[in-house]
Amino acid sequence: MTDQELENIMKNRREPEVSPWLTDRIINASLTPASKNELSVWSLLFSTKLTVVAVCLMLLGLVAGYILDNQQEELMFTQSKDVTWSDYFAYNGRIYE
Amino acid sequence: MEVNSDEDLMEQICQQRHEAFTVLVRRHTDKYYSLAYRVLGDRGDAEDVVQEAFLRIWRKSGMWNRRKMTKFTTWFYRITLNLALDYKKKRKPILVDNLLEIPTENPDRIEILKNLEQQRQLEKAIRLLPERQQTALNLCFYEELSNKEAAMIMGISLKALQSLLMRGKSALKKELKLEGAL
Repeated sequence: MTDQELENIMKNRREPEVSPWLTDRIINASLTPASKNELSVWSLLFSTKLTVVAVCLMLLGLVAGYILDNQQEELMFTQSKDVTWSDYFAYNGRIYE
Repeated sequence: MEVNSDEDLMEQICQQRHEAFTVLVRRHTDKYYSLAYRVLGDRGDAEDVVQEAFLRIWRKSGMWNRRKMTKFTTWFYRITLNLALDYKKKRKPILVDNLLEIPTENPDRIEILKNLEQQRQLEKAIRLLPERQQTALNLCFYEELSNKEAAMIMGISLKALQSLLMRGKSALKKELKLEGAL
């Protein structure tokens, strides 16, 4: 086979047809500001924020629960007629020991 | 806008002028799609690569340096080619070419079938070549670039490119002869 014969075959190689919507697809994609990477960073930030909020809420719940529990205990002592203040302080002292 | 040179359009793209980008995309999509397709052999992949290449020049227009590279087309050929080659390395090889469809309405079907068979063998033979030989043949034969320009895009010397072309052609001839294309 000569170079000329090879070139003749190669010239016949069919050109691939471009999708008519490819240019529009590229132009539209360029108008979208965030790339995949940027999106993933944002989603990571968002999920981090959510985690922080969730942890804060949990801590708040624990503190509130502790306070309410203490108040309830205090009410139990103060509202009961049979319990004296010395009982109350003795009870508290036992807790703090 | 259409009379602007590619390099002028790139300067405008650097200033984030989207009309310039639109003109450049409409002007060159076919050409670079053709190159990506030649490298990848798959329409969908070629479209993805061309889109990625254009988006890079829009989002990272700072890459363009007019003083460094005189011609936009040469610079962009390099970007598209590198992206296509990277893409090719990452995905599984495609053995069947979906380009060769037989037009049913043409009366000269036997001649067409013969040509298509020849083209199929050519595609197969080209895909069997080493990557650099394929690239050299694609740039010089199908993109009709000068040897100098093709060498610049591939980042090799003129002599190295000529050697790749010679070896590529010789391997193609051998392969086509074996397949009985001639």
